[in-house]
Amino acid sequence: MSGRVRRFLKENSLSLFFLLAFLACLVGQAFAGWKQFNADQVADGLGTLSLGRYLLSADFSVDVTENWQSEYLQFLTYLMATVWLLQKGSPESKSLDQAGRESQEDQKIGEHAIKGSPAWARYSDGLRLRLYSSSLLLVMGTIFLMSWLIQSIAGWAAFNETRIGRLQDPISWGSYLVNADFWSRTLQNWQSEFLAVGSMAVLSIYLRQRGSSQSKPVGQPHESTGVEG
Amino acid sequence: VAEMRTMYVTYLLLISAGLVFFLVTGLRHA
Repeated sequence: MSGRVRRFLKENSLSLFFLLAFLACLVGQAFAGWKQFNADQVADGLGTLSLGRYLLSADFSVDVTENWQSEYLQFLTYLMATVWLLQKGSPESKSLDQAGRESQEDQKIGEHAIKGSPAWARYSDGLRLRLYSSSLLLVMGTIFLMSWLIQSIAGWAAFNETRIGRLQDPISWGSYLVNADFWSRTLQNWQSEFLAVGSMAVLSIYLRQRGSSQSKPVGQPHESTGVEG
Repeated sequence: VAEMRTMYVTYLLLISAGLVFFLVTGLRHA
């Protein structure tokens, strides 16, 4: 392996690892979902689908996007909540006197920009600074809303296909948005995300993972807030 | 800098492609 390739793999190993893990799990989900879908079809006395047709089905689409939306919602709420809310002792929290959007100086904005600061951080006011100051939130929020919208459309289509298979009338998209199927799929994902995030914020007060950027250093006192390793 | 942009663009393209794919497959059945 050339030095350049080796350096690229090292410097991007975190995002490459998660990218590969995502792709592997998506392939696994596709196979398992396909088998389960066909087993249900057989049990209902209906025809089966090829793997290719299953990947293009509303069932696969809703199963993927319902999980996507909840993950992006998790990071979206985490980004917003950690601006204002605190947890004493947690490395996930800011220190107790830093709640809020912080000063221009703390945020290296405008005249406080440093060498290498992004171009839009050099404005001390205006639309470009406002946009860039929340750009991560805006993009994560857009992905969340798009995924949730697509979940609602694909979930509606899959729901109606099941109803038609049972000789029931299909329902409108508006009716699906207040249907228990939509909210069951949505809330079963949301509850687990919020529990996991809350657990991370609280358990990391007293527990450690040596070497992780998400943990306090092993010897750091429990009272220390906002210190990451 | 170019190498950091590679991963950034890869992720954004992957997410966008996924969203378009699932939107189209969802709408096709709707």
